[in-house]
Amino acid sequence: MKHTLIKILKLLSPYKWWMLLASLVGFLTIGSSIGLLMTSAYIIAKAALHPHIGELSVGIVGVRFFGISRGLLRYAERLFSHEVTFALLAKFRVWFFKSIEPLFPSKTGRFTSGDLLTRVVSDVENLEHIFIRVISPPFIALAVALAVSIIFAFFNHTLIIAFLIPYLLAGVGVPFLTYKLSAKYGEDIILLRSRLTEISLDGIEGKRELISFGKVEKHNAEFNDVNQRIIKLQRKMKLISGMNESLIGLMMNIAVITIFVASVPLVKSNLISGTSLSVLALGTMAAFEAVLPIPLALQYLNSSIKAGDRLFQITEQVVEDKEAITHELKGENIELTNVNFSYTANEEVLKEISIKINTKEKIAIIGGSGAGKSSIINLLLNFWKINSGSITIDNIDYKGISEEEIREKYSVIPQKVFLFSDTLKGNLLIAKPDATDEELWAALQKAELKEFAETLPNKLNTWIGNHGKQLSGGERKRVAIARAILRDAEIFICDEITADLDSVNEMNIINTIHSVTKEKSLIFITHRLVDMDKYNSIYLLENGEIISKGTHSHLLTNSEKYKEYIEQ
Amino acid sequence: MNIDKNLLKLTSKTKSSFVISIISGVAASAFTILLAYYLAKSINQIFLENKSLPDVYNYLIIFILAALLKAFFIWYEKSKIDIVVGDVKKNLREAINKKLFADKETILLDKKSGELSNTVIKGVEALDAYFSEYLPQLFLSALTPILILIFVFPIDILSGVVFVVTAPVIPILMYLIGSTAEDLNRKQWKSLNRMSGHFLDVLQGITTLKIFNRAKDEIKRIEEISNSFKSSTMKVLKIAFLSALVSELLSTISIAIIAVEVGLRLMYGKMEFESALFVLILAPEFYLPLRQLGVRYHAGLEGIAAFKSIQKLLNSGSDNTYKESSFSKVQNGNIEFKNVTFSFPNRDNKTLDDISFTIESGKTTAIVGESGSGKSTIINLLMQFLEPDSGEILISKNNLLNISEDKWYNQVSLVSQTPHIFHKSIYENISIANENATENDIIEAAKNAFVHDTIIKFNDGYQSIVGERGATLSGGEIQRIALARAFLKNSPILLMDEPTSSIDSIYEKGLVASIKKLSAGKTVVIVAHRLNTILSADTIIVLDKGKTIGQGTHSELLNSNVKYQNLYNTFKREM
Ligand SMILES: Nc1ncnc2c1ncn2[C@@H]1O[C@H](COP(=O)(O)OP(=O)(O)OP(=O)(O)O)[C@@H](O)[C@H]1O
Ligand SMILES: Nc1ncnc2c1ncn2[C@@H]1O[C@H](COP(=O)(O)OP(=O)(O)OP(=O)(O)O)[C@@H](O)[C@H]1O
Ligand SMILES: [Mg+2]
Ligand SMILES: [Mg+2]
Repeated sequence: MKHTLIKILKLLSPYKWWMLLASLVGFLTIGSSIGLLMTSAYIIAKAALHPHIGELSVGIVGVRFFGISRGLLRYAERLFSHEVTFALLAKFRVWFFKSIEPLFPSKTGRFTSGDLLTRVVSDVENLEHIFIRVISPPFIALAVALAVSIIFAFFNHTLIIAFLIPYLLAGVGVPFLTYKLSAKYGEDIILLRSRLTEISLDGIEGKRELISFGKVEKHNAEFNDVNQRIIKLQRKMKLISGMNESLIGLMMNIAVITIFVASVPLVKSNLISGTSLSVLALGTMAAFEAVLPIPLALQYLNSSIKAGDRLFQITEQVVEDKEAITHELKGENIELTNVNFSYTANEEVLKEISIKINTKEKIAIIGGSGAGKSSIINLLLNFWKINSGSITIDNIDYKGISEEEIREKYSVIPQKVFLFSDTLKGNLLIAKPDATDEELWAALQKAELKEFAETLPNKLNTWIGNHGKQLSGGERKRVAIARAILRDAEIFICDEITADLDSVNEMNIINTIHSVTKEKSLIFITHRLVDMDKYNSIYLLENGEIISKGTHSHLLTNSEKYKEYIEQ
Repeated sequence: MNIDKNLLKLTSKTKSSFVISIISGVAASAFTILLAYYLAKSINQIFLENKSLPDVYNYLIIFILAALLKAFFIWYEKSKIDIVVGDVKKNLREAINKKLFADKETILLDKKSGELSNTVIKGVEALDAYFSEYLPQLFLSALTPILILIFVFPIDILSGVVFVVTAPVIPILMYLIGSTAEDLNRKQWKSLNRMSGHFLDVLQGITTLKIFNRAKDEIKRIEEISNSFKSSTMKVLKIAFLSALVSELLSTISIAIIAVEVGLRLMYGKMEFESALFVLILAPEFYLPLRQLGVRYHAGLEGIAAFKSIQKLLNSGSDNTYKESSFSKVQNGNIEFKNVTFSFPNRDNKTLDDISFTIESGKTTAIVGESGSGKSTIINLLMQFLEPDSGEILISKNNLLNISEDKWYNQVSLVSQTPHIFHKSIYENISIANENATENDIIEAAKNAFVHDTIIKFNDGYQSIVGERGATLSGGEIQRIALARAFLKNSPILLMDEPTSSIDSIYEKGLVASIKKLSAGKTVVIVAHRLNTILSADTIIVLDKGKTIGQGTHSELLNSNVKYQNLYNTFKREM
């Protein structure tokens, strides 16, 4: 726990001067109110003794000064501290995204997008406030305690004790009491909120299923249950935090009494003047403003540490750094040799896979559902690490090449197409950020999507819905095809591209792919064995193993299994 | 500065707690006055009346009692308001969540899921400050100063006048700044919402971004978004700070004025020290609630802005209160499309244009047509996810729209083109189709869908948690699980949209056979591009650009329908 705090503080260190400045100004603000009330009390106590007007003038200047300075200082403090806060927000968010990016997709493990969203939004917000809520209040309270003690010492040193005991009770005792009572709730609330986001998202995205299977009620019950638990905990937490303000107020009044009781004998024995009575009482009252935020600071400290933990948990996953040597890859030949691979520690999904693709060769990978075809793509794109064997490109081992450089060589149409909740154009530009509209239209035409895009109300700038849900299944697929065509890399990978297309469309698309890859390499995964004689070699996969390979005619004569596929 | 009536309405069930909370707040203020009174009295006794400590003991005891009671009422005020806040948040969140499903398709298609979940979770949370801080403060900032004035006026008219003159400036000022601030806040909330939507989109799509080496650029974009969010937030806050500055200055300067004004009169013997001190102690207390109102107003503004977007959500679309069906049971008769026309609100062309056909009960009807011709739209209409613009869909001559969803969904199973896999165990993902299914039923269904053998190979078998949206499953596995749901539900009407598109030919052969077995005696609608899956359908409907251009058996169509011939011949050529 302390460890996390240190790590958080390290992240804050670039802003230390700003923070110091903001805290200093915060201290001066409260100092001004103390000054204002003490001088005001001084004026009227002195005036009650009917002195000469000249004796009041210093006090009158004083109240004017403090009256104005308090307002201005408060304003400055707020500006400074929020400057720090928002600088932190932007910094934390980018830091989080930067660290999470390399983890996708193989190291994200049990983290769902809903969970990650909660982290990047709520946990970051939590940390963002760490300065205003957690760090600055104790500093200010401490400085105020010191300053008041010094001022009171000018009156009489016994007053320091009369002031400090209730002040410490309010600034340390009350916060610890309420913290102890509520610590565990804060943590639970964070977890439950994250859970609620997950439930909500899963439900929103699975709405059709929930409705059509009549499970909406059940989903709502689950949602309401978590929601109610959150509300209950929040209420408990607030019952406790409600005690803070009330107890600190009580301590302040007790301090007024202790100061009063301590100063009466001093007045009687003429150690201090009678005017001091009201000056001390009002000064004490003003000083307690500094401890008011402390109990919350402690609570926030706890939740900031929890939030910090949750962020570090993700950002600290080790990602090995590759040396930044660029290889000027040509993408000429790719070779997998005796590759073994498993997603989890369990059974291997791919066993002893060897595949070779020479420059401009076209290969096909076929095999049953779940045989491991898409997994080979995951490996080629370096999304997952192999258990043993090797993968090379241009005869250089993947281990020595940066992921970016590897991916630069591939144009991929994945099986599970993901579209962003953006316009058609936005979705295409991902493949080629600087593409002109003409290029986009040309790609759409090749992907058999031009005619459709022309019917859209805003053409390329039409929003295509959440995850592209406003497109038909085949249209979504064709957007992905257009992307790959735009990208135009040396090696094309097509994973079940024709699954959602009608036969005419399919034929055209396959022809397009073959024509755009005429001068390129092509890896074609399919379970529809069309035009198989176009491929230099065909790999037949079963249960993660290559059971036969060769050309179409070779396999027709040598592989029973292949024949079975063809004859379906 | 307005009190949104709709927001206030949310507290109708907890009105008494709210009122008690306000009363407690006022009671706490009354004790504050008592405290000031006895403190001033005690100091006066010692300072000017030359009394000794024991003489003022009874004042001090009253002081301590008052302090205790004040502490209690402050706590009680908070605890009561929390009942109100908790109730509002609970109900509102439940209402939004419910609305998300009552509204069926429309909302889902128009909003990003990240924005929706942000509204449900954070939007409701933003109301907390409005109800727990701003609203009670609004009442207290009116009541507390009045209470103080009631005590100050009889003691010292002049100070009372200073209070009365300066106090209203603060709320007037806030009112002036308020409308700009409210506007800015609303924009701010919208961009916060959009940002959440964007973040979720990026998080879900990072793999896709990486395929194109675009992840790093996206992070740069996030940095830009965050920075512009930062500067726009600072803009909102600067207004808040400025209004706080003015009210702060006003109150401290007023305190200074009172100190001087009272001091001078004291000096010339026109006033008593005790009353002067009493007024001075109360002066900060007088301005405190007004100053706090300024600060809390801005906390509350976020709530108002969030509530606006919540309200928009709650009032959007058709309010689909569940219909009471006039039929005791949905007869399992023919399904008839009669001149059905449908277009999506945000598209110019008609997606379905005056189509009519009959799906015969107990038979298998296939729908074929080019991608984008409207096949899934027909399925969505049958599922009541969409409603025809004109024409009607009849089930045994009853309009589908008059049949309650509950009853209809009992009769139909849907295998959609993009099945959603929940982030739960495989077992739960299948059993969603039938609550009462036994483990054996589920295994049986999985076997029929040819997915049982695959499942038992997973780490935890049926209890394996599949990743989000089926991340750890292959494309074909997802489809087979979706099919298993249909096998398990075993309802009289079966709608299947491309059920085998990602399944290889060897599995497909078996699957087609099991689907056939399941279909026996059922009304089945199947959409397929792979013509071999539908050759044996009783009727095939050919769809082209939203129009039906043919209906008949395979051989009939092959003889008469050019489009079908074309689709079939290309398909054939590929074999
Ligand atoms: N991210 C993952 N984590 C764990 N297991 C996975 C993951 N992705 C795939 N698998 C498992 O690995 C096996 C091979 O999956 P893969 O996607 O490579 O199959 P496939 O040959 O492409 O099948 P299909 O034709 O159905 O798409 C499957 O059993 C699948 O459940
Ligand atoms: N929510 C929506 N909003 C606007 N347009 C939509 C929406 N859903 C579908 N469309 C459009 O309506 C047309 C018909 O879509 P539909 O999904 O019915 O096609 P389909 O025949 O099922 O095609 P596919 O075979 O590709 O799945 C498409 O052009 C699509 O872009
Ligand atoms: Mg696959
Ligand atoms: Mg479709």
